[in-house]
Amino acid sequence: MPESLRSVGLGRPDADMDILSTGSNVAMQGRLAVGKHDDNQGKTSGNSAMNPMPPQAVDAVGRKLKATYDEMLREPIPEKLLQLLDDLDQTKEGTPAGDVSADDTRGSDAADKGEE
Amino acid sequence: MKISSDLKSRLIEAMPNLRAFAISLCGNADRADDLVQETLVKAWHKIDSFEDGTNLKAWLFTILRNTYFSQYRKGRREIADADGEFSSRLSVQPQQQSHIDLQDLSAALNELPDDQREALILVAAEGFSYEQAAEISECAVGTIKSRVSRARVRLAEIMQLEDWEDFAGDRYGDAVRVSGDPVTRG
Repeated sequence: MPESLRSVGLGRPDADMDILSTGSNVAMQGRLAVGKHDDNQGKTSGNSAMNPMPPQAVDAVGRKLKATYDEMLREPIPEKLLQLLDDLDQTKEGTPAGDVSADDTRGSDAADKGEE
Repeated sequence: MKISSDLKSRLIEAMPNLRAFAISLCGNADRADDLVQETLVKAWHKIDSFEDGTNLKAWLFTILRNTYFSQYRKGRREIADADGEFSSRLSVQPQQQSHIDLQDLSAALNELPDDQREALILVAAEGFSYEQAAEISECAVGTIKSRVSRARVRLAEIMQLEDWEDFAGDRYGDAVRVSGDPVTRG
């Protein structure tokens, strides 16, 4: 095995295993033996087909994803998006998407002043 | 065309979801807002094709993802923030640990293939049924199920790998550090 591979930890199942079995990984949830039977042929540790993930780890990541997404849903909506609906409502016929972005620094004030 | 104020308020109601979905797809908030903007303009112009009584959010999501895949997708890789748009978009980061978690999650999401990320967000984050997600993505229900399932496992694997990386760095130094990008895109 090329030395360069060793240095990045690929193709060293024993080293990977060591990390696994001593891992303080929350997601592992006590399933320390994962990959023990499969990852001993010098495969890279990132090979997904080799290591069945414990369901607890998958669930934990799923919950984290949901929590993070819910946080995003609570963010305030940018003013320009709210303004967009008002602009569309006023024009009735609407404007092409390109015009909207070109126009987004000019509010209805500017348009009003331009009248008469 | 005349849009009822009721419909307008429903569009506003759907905006946080559209933004979150767009940020998840784009990996970049500025592009995500452009994408939402374009989605709203398109929706406004073809509101006649929306059947009242059906799911407005699902209809809007369809427009957004079609716009993304036809126009935004190819720029994604170059622009996506490696540290993670998810975390940087969050104004409140209660604890250091959760901040790290969010960065990990965001970076891991960026590693997923587009179709898997889309399916995962629709079902696991947004809460659409498999059937609804299949309609939005215009594919078979079985395809969505398999994408979600693969995405879940893949995400967990990637995040675990990152944990190894941290641990290896702490304990063993560079000798066994799992560095670079050992996870190939599937």
